[in-house]
Amino acid sequence: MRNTLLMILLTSAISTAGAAEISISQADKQFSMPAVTINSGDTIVFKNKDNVDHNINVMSPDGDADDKGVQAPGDNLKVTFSKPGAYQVRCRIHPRMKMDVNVK
Amino acid sequence: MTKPQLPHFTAILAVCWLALSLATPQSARATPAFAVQTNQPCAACHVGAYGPQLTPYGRDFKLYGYTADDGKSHFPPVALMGRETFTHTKADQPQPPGSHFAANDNLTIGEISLFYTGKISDDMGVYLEPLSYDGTSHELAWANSEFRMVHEGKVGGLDYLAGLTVNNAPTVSDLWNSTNQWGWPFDAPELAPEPAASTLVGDGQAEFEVVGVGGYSMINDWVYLEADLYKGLTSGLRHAFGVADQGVDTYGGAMPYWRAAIQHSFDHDHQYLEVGTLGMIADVHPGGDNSFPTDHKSDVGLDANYQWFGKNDGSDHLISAHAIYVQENLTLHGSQALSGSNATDKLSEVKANISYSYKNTLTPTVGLFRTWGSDDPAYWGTSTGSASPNSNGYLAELTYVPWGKQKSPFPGLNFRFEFQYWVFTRFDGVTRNASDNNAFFFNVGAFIDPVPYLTK
Repeated sequence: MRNTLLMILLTSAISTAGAAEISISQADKQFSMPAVTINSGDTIVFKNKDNVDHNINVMSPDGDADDKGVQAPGDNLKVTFSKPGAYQVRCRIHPRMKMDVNVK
Repeated sequence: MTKPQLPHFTAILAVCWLALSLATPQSARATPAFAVQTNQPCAACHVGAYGPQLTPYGRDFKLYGYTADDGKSHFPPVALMGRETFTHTKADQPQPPGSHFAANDNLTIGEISLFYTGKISDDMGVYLEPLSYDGTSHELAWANSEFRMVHEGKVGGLDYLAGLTVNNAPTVSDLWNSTNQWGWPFDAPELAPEPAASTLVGDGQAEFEVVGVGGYSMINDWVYLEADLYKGLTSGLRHAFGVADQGVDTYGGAMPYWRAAIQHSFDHDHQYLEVGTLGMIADVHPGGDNSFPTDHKSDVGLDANYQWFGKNDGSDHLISAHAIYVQENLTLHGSQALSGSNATDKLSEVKANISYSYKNTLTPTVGLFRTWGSDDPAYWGTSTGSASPNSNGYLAELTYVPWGKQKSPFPGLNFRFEFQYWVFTRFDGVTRNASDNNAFFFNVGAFIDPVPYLTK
């Protein structure tokens, strides 16, 4: 029983360490960082702190686009990056608003 | 040629009535098709919540080829615009300004236009005004139209955006409101006297009478370069697009147009400055007569634009200023042979204005304009009979735009009420009685994207 509990705690710790959650703010129609490097399986939380809508579009290393839909002011959007590679994230509504995500 | 005519005043009212009767109040945005496409209110792109003055986002939207969107389909991206105008001049005009008008105090439809404006693909978009009814000339023609294709990339650590433009007027592709097609004054009384002399690139002499193809590039968000090549429409195309074909100047050969500008946002994006230059060269057949040599026009201009934004991207307080200077050198082989004009002339003009927009609702503007050049009684054709083309004046304007903001009640519908007063201190070379041409101009415009209403 004691060993089982230890195993569960250990697994949970490894899982947390292996899948981090990173926050990126969207303010003044810009991402808070122009580029970020994360590990495979990590999640980025995009927080719309503007008073206008955004629309996250994730371009995969293969060139496939994933449209996450309209993100209203105040909304948070979680995106998990499961495959390694160079991604580009941009707002479809504000074409100048873009960032690179490098997934190891 | 007989042009299609529309019943006076009724069409614009019908559009407004249709919109008002179908709309239900909701927290929405969107004036015409671009606003619907981007899910943004008019004020996101336009100073004073009504075109054509652009905000930084509006310039980006155009720079990126009208392709920004909210990821949804809004087909077809059409819009309708109508304007009703009233013009009063200080003194009655010697002759009525048209067969349907009086010598003063004219109320008329200014314009009813159909637009097709939207994204075609991720890298292509259009702004088309294929049908525009002019209520003063009672003619139907095309107006500002442009196709864009863009590509983004990086070279040697520099970001660039390169684009292709196909359009029907020099400066229609421009991002700034100092240059002619989208420049100040944004509206003007069509039924009041206007000075005779104008420049090719500064006053849009060739607008809609040409088709041009060009390339543009924005490098590192600092340097803008554009080069276009225009060609005059053939007689058949002029007829097809509703452009006047008899007794008007036409264009021969290729007409190069160029533009260069430096821009920068500073003070944490609270201020913006652009300084630029532009130019154009054209060979002109005076009066469309190909049997004489051509006149040669060469224009060079300098321009500057400044914007100051208060909190929330200037949605409460926004100051916007634009200025342009154009010098034109004319070699008049054709006009000299035809009418005995000088062999060469020079014409210069300057226009400058500054506006303050309060909550994108009330926007007062003041500005000045000045045109001066060589004396040439045979060429300028001034209304006063003077040999001088010189004219000076001022313009004060107030616009009221009730909607087009984040929480406006009627999506896809906007109005603008515009009051102008034009003051002339010199008109066509003469200062005496120049103020007879002073004009009060009232202009109410309505702009609607009908699709959301028709598809409800």
